[in-house]
Amino acid sequence: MASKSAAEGSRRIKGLIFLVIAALVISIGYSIYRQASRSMEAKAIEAGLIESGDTPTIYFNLKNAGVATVNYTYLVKLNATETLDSGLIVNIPPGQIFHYTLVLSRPEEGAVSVKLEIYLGEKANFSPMYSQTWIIKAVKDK
Amino acid sequence: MQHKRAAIHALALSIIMLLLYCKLPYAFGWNPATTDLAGTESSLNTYADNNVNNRFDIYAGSSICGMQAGEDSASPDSIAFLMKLDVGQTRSTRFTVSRMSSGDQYEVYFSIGGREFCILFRATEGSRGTCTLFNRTGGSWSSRVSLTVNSIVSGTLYSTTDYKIGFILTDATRTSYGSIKFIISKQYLYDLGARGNLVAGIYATARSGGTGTPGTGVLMDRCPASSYASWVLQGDIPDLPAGILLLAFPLIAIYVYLKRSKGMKAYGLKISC
Repeated sequence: MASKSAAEGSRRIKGLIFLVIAALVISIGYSIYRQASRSMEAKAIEAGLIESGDTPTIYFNLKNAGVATVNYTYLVKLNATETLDSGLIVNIPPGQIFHYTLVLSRPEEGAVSVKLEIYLGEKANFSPMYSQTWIIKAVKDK
Repeated sequence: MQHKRAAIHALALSIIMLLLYCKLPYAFGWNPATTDLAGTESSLNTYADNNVNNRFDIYAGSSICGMQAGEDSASPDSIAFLMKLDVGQTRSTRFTVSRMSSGDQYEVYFSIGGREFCILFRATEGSRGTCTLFNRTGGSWSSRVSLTVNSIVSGTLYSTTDYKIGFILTDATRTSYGSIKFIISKQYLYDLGARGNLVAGIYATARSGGTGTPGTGVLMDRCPASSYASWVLQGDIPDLPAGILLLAFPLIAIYVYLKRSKGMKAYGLKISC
């Protein structure tokens, strides 16, 4: 009777060990999968504002979803008038992603609007392929 | 009894390792120290300390390396290149972050495993500019990552939120050289096709009137003056990710424990009692 319960306990322990090993193997597999895959796979543009202390950050990830190598132009405006940043993104091959980050300074008071526009080609024309505006407030106004 | 202990130890180890994995700061160690890069003891042009173009003067000489390089081994790994900029008599003639002019462009070229890269910083005005990493595809430069900072402070590290690239600009003074340091994620270079541990074709340039793409504007200086430097990394690009090592460690521990336990034989997953 005692040996039967000991054998049963041993089986349970073995099962537990196998479970731990299986969990670790799955974790390693998942970790490798996460490294190999990209969150941008299904999207053409992903943009956002990261509110971090005194240096709010605007970012966008732009994927060339077409079949040919293309250029893009981006424009970042402050309060719709002042150009904060502009630039040319050159020769993005099909399926490749361009990553952009803009580190700003938080206004001391009030709020500012920051507008991001992305154009296909080498010029900012009338119709951006992407446009997004964010409001950044001073810390004391938050 | 021994089985129980083995299971408890394995569980404890797994929990500790998983906690460590979750708690590790992503940017741990990201910003390697740099040391002089052999082969960069010359530059194309020399400007007098009181010359207005002195901010483009890469500080190199017969026994002075104009560039430095470094790598860190923490996770995620990164490599860094630094170019030295000459001292100057006044703030208006030496490199100072607040006095950069639109189009001042500083570039570092290198190749890894046959893949060519260029990382550059282009000022848009004093204390403002953009750092961009390019790689060469089909014979032309392709933008990959860009980081613009609106209010740059000398000596401060700026990086993209996911630590792909970063830079530090440091003012020159009357007695110490200024510098431009570029930091690049090894993992990201790997994603762009870089393989192996030999970094070849390294050189730096300083340009005026640059437009933000490699080689634009007027070449003001180059280091080394001709040819290139090379550098061998301590580890391949990328090193084995630390996260996977951490997860693999409990597996090794369980295997060793079971193998050493009396009355147990462990061959792979087969355990007999």
